[in-house]
Amino acid sequence: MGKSTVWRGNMPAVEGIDMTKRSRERSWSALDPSSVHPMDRDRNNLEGSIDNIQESYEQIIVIDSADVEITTTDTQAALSLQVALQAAISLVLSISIGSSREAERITQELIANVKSKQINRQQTYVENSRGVRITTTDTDLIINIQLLLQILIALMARIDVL
Amino acid sequence: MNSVTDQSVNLLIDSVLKRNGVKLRKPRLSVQEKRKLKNLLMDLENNVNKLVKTIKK
Repeated sequence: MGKSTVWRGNMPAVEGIDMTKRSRERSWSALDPSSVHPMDRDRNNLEGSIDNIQESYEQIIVIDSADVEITTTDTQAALSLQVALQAAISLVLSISIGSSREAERITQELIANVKSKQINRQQTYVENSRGVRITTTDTDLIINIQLLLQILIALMARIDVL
Repeated sequence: MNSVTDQSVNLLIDSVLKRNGVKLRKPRLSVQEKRKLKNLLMDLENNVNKLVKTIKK
């Protein structure tokens, strides 16, 4: 990380807003049980049944900070790859079985067995900080992709394509 | 992926096929069709490896 070029000085004055009060009311302390975390409004209900679902949410909030470097995995690219692998599995099964409907059903069953059934939520909150480096990765998705590739390789080997 | 994963994947495929009463038959594919499928697999494999490398960085 390069040298900081942040302006140093007093807290800037904003007309109509008491910046000291704003800062005091918003600050959160992990040691204070009465303190409400800024992300508490997004509290999620984790009760109930979890079906065959996989969802990923990512939220990064940076306030009053400088030199913050954020790297996130391109989830969209990973999802596209997952879909491509599923389509390839379906294609190989369809070629081998002859019935595309049956091939689709088996593909769905294979995918359902592989998929990790969980919801991945990543929330990162950076406030009043300097020189922070954040790297986030959705490992669930990557593991699924690797397993789907393994299934595709196994199927291709079975039908003597490899 | 190690051999344990290979075995698990093969067991999973066997189990799903058995449950659905389906047997995989070897299709009659031309050399060109086989090559196309191989290329598809290689392409997908390269993309997966790229993604994994990006994450490891």
